[in-house]
Amino acid sequence: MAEPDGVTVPSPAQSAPADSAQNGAAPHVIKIIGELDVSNAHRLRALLDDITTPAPTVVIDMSELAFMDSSGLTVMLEAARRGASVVLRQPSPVVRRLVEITGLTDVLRIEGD
Amino acid sequence: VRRAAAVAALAGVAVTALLTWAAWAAHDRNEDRLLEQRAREAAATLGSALPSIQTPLASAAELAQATGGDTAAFERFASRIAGEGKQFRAAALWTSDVDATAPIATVGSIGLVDEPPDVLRGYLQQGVATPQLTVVDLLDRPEPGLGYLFPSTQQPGYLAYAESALSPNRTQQTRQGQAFDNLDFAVYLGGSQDPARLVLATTPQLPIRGRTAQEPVPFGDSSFLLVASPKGSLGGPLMASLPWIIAIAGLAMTALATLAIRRLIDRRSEAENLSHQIEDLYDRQRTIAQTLQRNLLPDRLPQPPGIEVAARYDAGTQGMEIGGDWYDVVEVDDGLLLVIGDVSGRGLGAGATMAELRFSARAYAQEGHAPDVILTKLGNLLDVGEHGHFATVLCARIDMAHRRIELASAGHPGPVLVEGGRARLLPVHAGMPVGVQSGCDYAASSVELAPGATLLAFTDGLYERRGESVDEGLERVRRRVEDHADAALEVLLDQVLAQLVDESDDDTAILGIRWQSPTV
Repeated sequence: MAEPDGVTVPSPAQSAPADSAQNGAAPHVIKIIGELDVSNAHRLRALLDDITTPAPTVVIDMSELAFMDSSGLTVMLEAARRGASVVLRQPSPVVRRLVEITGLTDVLRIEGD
Repeated sequence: VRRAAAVAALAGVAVTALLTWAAWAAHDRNEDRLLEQRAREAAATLGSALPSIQTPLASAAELAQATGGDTAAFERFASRIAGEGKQFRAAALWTSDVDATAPIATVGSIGLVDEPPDVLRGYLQQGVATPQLTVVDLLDRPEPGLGYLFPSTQQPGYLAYAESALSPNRTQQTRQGQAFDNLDFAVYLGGSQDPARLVLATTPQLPIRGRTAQEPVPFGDSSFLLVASPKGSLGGPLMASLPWIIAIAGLAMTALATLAIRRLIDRRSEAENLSHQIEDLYDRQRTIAQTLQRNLLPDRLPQPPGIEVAARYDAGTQGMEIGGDWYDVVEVDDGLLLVIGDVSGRGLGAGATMAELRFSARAYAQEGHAPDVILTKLGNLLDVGEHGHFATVLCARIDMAHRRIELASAGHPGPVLVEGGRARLLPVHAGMPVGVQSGCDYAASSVELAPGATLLAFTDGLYERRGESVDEGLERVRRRVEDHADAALEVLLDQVLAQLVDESDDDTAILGIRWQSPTV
C-alpha cells in the first residue's frame, strides 16, 4: 500500500494567492500528500467541512499527490456542491486526467487553466 | 487435543520426581557429611577427657615418689579427687613391686582388688610397664566401672590407681542445649560394638541403627569406639523438608500448568469456532450483498433480432459491500437504450442510489427521451452534497434500422468500438457526473456503425489502476478487446473480464452489443 498520506494546512500568508479570492482575502490552501482514497478521504472531508463553511475558496495543493480515486473526488464535489470554490493546484497528469475524463473541470478548476 | 495436557502433566511429574530425588540425594550426602563431622568433634571431645584423668594420677604417682611412699600424703591428695560426688569413686597406690598385690594406700573401696591375684598382677605389671594411662576393664563387675593406672616416672617406684563408676544403666540422656544434643551416641571400650563393653549411651535402643558414624578414640593404652547417629536432621528442618517442598510445589505447578494448557487449548478451539463463525458471517454478508446486487441488476436482457446483447458484473475483492456499478438495456420504439453507470462509494447507500438511477433511467427511456435529456433528468435526482454519492453515467440510444448510435456521457468514458477486427475508443463529450450540479446540459454525439460492429461499455473497475493514467488503463482495455475481437460476444466479455479485473478491488460492469454480420 501507499505511504501514509498527509493532509496539511499551511497558513494563508505562506501560500501563493489563488486567483479567485473574490473579497480580496487569501484563500485557504490545503496540501495533500501521497494517495487519497477511500481509506483516508474522510479526513479531507472533515477539513473541507471546517474551512468551506459558509463558502470560501479552497485551494488544494496536489503537487505531491500520487493517486486519487472517486472517494477523493466525492469529498471535493461535496464541498463544491455546498457552494465552495475548489481549485486544484499542480495536479499530476494522472489526477488531472481523472478530473478531465470525469467531466469535472468546471467544478474542480485546475489553477492556471 | 487432550494429549498435550497429558504429556505436560507427565513431563511435570517426571521433572518433579527428578528434582525431588536430586534434593533428597543432596540432603542425604549432606547429612552423612555433617554426621561424620559431628562424630569427629564428639570423639575429639571424648579424647580431651584423657588429661583430666591422667594428670591427677600422674601427680599422685609423682607425689608418692617424692615422699618415698608417704601414704598419708597420698590419701590427703587422693581424697580430693576420689569419693562420694567426686571425679572417681575410689583411688589406690601400689609400689612397683608387682608381687605385692595389695595396695599400700586406698581411698574408698576399689573393685580392682577383687580380681583374681594373677589377673590383678597382670594389670599391675602392665600398669608399671606402660608409661601412660592403662585402662582397666571393670565393665562386667557387679558395680561396673573403669579403672586407670599410671606409673611414676622413675621405676622402681609407684603406681597410682583410680576407678570411676558408670552411669546407672550406662545411659545418660543429653539435655537440650548441651553439646551434641542433636546426636544419639554410644561409647564402647575397645574397637567393636560389644554390648558387654558399653561404657555410655544416650539411648537405651542399642546397637544404634539407621544413619550412623563410627569414630575410634585412642585413650591411654586402650581406645573407645564412638558410634553416633543424628536425632533429627543435622542440616536443619528446612534442608530435611526441602525434597518434600520440591515434590509438593512441583506437583502443584504441574497441576496448574496442565490446567493452563487445557484452558489454552479450550480457548484456542473456541477462537477457531469463533473464526469459523466470523467467516460464515462474512460469507453470508457477501452472499446477501451479491444477492441484492443481482436483484438490482437486470436478470434478463432484451435480445432484439439482429443484435446480440450481453453483460457481466464482477463484485471485485471488496464484494462484502454492495457496489454502485450498473448496466441496463431498455427496448424503446425504434431501438434500444443502453445505460451503464457507476455510483461512487459502496454499501447500501450506493446500492439504493444506483437502483434509483437505474429505474429512473428506464422510465425516462420509455418516455422516449434522448440520452442527453435522460442524463439531465438523472442529474436532478442526486445531490452529492446531500447523499454523499455522485455517479458517472454513459447513455446510448441505438437506432437499429440505421445502425446509428447516439451517445451522451455524464463523466463516463466512451465505449470501445470494434469494427473489422480493429478496436477504438469512441470519443464522448464528457459532461459533468450526475449529482454534482442540477440542470446540467449534455452534448450528444452520433456515430454510424459498420455491419458486424461490436460496442463495449464498461465501468472503471476494468481500467482504473493505482499510479497510472486513466488513458493507459483505457488503452489496455482497447488492446484486450482487440485481442479477442473475433470471439463470440459472451466469450469476448469473459476473456476481457478475466484478464482485466483480476487484481481490481473495485466492482466492474461490462455491457456489450454486437450487430450480426449481414453475411451470416
